[in-house]
Amino acid sequence: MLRRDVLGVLAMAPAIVAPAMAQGDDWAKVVEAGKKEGKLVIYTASIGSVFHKAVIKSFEQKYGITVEMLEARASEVRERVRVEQAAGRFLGDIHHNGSTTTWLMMRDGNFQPHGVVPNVKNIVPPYEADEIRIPCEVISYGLMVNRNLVKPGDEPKSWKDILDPRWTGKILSDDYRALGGGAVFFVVMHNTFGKEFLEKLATQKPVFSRDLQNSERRVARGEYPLYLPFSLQNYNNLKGLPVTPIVPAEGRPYVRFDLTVLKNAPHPNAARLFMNHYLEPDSQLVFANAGYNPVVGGVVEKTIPEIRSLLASKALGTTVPERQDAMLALAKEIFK
Amino acid sequence: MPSVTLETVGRHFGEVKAVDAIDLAVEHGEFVTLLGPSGCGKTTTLRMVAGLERNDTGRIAIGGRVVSDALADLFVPPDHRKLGMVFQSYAIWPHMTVFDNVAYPLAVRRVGKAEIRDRVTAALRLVEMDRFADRPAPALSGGQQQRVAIARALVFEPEVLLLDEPLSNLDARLRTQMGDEFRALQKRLDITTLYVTHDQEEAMALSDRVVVMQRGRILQADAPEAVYRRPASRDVAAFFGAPNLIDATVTGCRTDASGVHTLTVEGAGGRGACRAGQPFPAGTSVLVVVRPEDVALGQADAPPAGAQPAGDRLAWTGRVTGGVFRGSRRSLTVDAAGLKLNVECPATRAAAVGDMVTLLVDADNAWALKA
Amino acid sequence: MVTIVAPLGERKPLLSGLWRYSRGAGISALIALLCFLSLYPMIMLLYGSLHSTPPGIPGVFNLDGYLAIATTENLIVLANTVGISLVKTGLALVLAVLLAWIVARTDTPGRGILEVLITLPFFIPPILTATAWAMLGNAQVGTINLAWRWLTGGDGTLVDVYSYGGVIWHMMQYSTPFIFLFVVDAFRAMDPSLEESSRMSGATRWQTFWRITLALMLPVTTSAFLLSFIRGVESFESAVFFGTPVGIEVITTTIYHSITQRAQPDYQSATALSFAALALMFLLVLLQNRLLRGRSFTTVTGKGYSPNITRLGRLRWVTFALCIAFFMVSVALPIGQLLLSSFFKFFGFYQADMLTLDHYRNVWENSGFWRAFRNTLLLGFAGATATMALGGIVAYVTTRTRWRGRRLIDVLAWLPWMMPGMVLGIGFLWGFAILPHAIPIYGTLWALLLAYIALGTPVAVRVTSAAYQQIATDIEECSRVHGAGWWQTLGRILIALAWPAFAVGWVLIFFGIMRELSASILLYAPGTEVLSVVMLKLWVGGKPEEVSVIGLVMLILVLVFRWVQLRFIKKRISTL
Ligand SMILES: Nc1ncnc2c1ncn2[C@@H]1O[C@H](COP(=O)(O)OP(=O)(O)O)[C@@H](O)[C@H]1O
Ligand SMILES: [Mg+2]
Repeated sequence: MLRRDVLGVLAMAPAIVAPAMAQGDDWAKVVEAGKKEGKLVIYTASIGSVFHKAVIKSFEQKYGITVEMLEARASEVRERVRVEQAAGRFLGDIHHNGSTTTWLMMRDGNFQPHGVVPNVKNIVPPYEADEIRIPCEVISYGLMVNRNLVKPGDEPKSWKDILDPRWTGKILSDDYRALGGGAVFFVVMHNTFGKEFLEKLATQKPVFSRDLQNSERRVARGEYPLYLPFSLQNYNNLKGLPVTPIVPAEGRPYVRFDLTVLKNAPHPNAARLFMNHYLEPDSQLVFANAGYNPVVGGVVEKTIPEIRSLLASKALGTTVPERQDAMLALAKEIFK
Repeated sequence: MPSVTLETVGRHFGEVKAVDAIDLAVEHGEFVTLLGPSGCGKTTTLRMVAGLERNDTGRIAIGGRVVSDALADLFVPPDHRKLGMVFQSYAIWPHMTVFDNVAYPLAVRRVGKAEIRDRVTAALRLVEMDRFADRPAPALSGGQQQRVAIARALVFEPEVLLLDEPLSNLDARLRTQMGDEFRALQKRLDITTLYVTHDQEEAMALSDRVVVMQRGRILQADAPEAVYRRPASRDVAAFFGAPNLIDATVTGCRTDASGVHTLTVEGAGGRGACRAGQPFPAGTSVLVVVRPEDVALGQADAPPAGAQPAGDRLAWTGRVTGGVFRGSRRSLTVDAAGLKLNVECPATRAAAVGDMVTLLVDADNAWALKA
Repeated sequence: MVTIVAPLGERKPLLSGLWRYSRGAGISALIALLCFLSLYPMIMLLYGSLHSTPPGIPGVFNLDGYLAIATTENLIVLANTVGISLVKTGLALVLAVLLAWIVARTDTPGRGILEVLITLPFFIPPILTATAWAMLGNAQVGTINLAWRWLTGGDGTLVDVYSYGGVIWHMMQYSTPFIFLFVVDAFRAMDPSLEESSRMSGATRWQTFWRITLALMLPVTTSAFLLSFIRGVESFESAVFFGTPVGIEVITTTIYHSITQRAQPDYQSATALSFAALALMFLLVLLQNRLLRGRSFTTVTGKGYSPNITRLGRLRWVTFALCIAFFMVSVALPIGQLLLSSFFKFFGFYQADMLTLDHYRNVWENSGFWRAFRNTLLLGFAGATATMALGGIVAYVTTRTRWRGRRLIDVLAWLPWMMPGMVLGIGFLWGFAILPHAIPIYGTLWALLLAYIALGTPVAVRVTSAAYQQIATDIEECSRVHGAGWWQTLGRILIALAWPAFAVGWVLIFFGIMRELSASILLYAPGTEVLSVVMLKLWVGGKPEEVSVIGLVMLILVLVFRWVQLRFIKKRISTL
């Protein structure tokens, strides 16, 4: 009995003290080791984002660790990681990709647990980290209208407004039948309003294009009055053009981007430092000001006013990787 | 030691035997011409010597060195055979000047700049083209291109000079002139030459020896006169001009001290004596070759003045059935008991159509072959 | 003997056995190299098409990929693809031959400059011309349609680029200059006597053009047609840009779909579909071989030549106008749009308050751009030179020798052309990644270089073999007899005569490398970024204006290259 108690106390004691004490201690070691590694290789599917560059620069300055980036499209990043690992080449440390691809790669065993990252505790719901994935920023979707073609007050205020006959043949849209924003929109609408909503949307004859950047410009130039789903973070590139982003009353569909540590990463400690740095309020503010939703609390409030109202809207829902293929098939069925 | 030796050299393309096991030896400094109708394998033979074509059978030696042996699987590529060659099309490289064209064989052998200049200038002077050295090659006439091609073939001391119908692209007058010039040059340089042509006059005018080919085989290889006057076969005879080939039967044969065989023969419409390359027993059928220009014309029964005694000539009697005036000469056709004979005679002394005439040929100008 | 034939130092006679041995070794080395460059990635892909999972993941061998492609949907896609490519290649061929004839064989004024100008569209990244055309020709607010409505006073639509016509037109902007570059030198290297004798035989000018000139150019035109047709079948940008929005799908968009737009990339069906397309195109290549077999297309003979220039009289202003019209429509409009837009904040918004030089400044200050530019120039120079060298040798072996193994070499050199880029890129990725780690290819510039060489070799081989086929054999044999070895003859005679073709091939390949994205994005590593990757980053990052700045920089490079090249050609022609 006594023995057990003693053991129990002995076992308990560190458990109680550890989080505060040992973590601070450990983290200093991680910082030390990370600096010694001196280098970090990031594989990202977020191509050409200047905001990453800002965060990476502040990271490099803070820790003296040089960062190299491999940017490619989601499926290309995935295939490179897969092939490299199959061939025993472990070149990358951090992987940064949308939640669906990340989930698939996790299933394939491309990652290793990231270990303790202090700032994870600041993440707010509905976003959630696990031992592999750390959410890092969120792409939110709304609508975009051309101000020259849509009178103030006429723009859709609810998602249901896009079913108005006024918009028949006037909607330019990302394709719902392919992985991407369109598919996220489709899933969330399906979960929120049911299949009928989408069937009605099909009778509106939306015009599909897969080239997001060009589509937005086409709406800006007046080819179409309405674009959806509009990734809010693209608004930055369009400032000065006659377009207005809108988040309808029900809220915004969103898709999460995750950070993970690649299996057998050559610089695992630097990777942890980077994840932690990414979740710092300052880093998150960079993304928030650019139109991404932050994953930690207390950041949205600090953003520039024109963005704040968009980001402060309700999170309506996101994709479910497990059901992705079924939903794509459904989209194909509804939108022939 | 011969300069070029071919031993049972052959080459086939698919089913076609382009060259069929030929033997030939070309002596140093000799001018040998391959002559024959188109497609008889002359070019193929030349190309095998050049190394542009591999022989399937036999051996080829140049200057005593075996350059190709089909059995031993030995083959020296063309650039190691030290030859000069003139192509039928001249193959002047259009992107070079005349000088560069001629300098090429030296340049590729890494001869020094100064030496190249001297030797190219000398070679061009030889063909009287030194004035054109800086011309772009395509800006030349056919005859000039031909000279350049010859200069190029000579500039590097070739073991043997090969020429494939080099004159065939020139007009008739230039052809004769260039031919004579070339022959003079060849003699002066004492260079072994293998020459291909289908033109018999050209062959005879230029060569030390003519090799008559047909269907990939050598029919006869001999001095031009011998080939012309003493053909070894009907085919050879037929290749030069349009000789009269008269069927006859041998009635007697004698061989004199110097080994000359003289036959007495008899055929439709005539009889007499002729020479032969071999003895024939009486009663054998022979073919007597008589060239139209060797036939003398007499009145039906009065032999022309100064003719050979009757015992040493051939005589035919017939009727003139046609005549064509050709300026200095007249061509007659004579029907001698059903035998059609062609006769070339001086225009002024020709008989008229319808006349009965006697045709007389010296035995020396009548050559009997096995029928 | 006369002095000119003083004896020279005799060269070491090579043993004939050694010669044969070294030739065998050379052929083997060539085959091995080509196998590595083209067969190896293909085998990777073949594995992918026959295996339920891509290399490196456990799975089973099956034919599901091939069985899956036999659907009516895919048949429609196939018909679409072939139809589009056939139409655009046909139209482009006619146009290109006409333009080439005008430029090379008539006295049309300004044809030297026209020759450079009308080839420009080829060198602009397709997404840029697509963007430009999307602005010019969309049904709603396209500049052309606005002008049309203003002119007619109605509200009709003159053109809509989001259509079959748009897809074809956009492809033609690339095929026409491509074919033009192929055929223009063949027009120039034509012995005039070949045509003169036709005229003397009573043929009219038109008959002569049709039955002699064009017939003699059959290797060039059929090669160009084939290359262009196959490229059309594999073309992606035009279809995805102008076709997909209106439901026009082609093979490549289908492949793209199965790789990138499903939760689980379906490499098996993507590669199977590619192989099915490859088989189809291979038949075409065989057909061409049959068409050309046993015929001679020699137009450069040892008798020298200078091409016939047709004096058109007053007609030459018509041909001039035609060239200018083509230039205006295919070059001035889209490039003008790009150039103009590059000075405004946004594409297509020409407002005074949006005038800016920011895009130029941003590109100038983008260190990533400069690094990529250096890498790309290095890869471009090395890659184009190596590719032309390889292509020149392969073409020689396949067109001018009867060596054993030459057929194999020919096929190997064709293969990379028949695989859509995005699929071949995956083949390279798989192939290079699984190489032993001691071979430093994966993740280095070598990976990109080798992939570029493989991708460029088909063009190099076609360009040079077409040029070789015009050169009479005795021109070459004459060189051998006069003491030049194989290499010397290749360099001093064949390449020297065919070098305009080499120059054209080099430029085509150089700019092919500058543009190549599908394989680059899969093979680059941090530090070995190339221009196309940077352009993709800018494009996806919402900076089309900066992409067009880079496009314009590339265009200036093209102008410089072409100008230098044509000056040399001119010099050569004036000496003929
Ligand atoms: N490369 C070849 N392929 C097939 N047959 C050939 C080839 N070269 C020559 N021949 C054939 O070989 C024969 C002899 O040709 P060639 O030597 O050129 O004749 P010549 O020069 O005496 O006119 C001809 O029947 C010709 O058709
Ligand atoms: Mg011949």
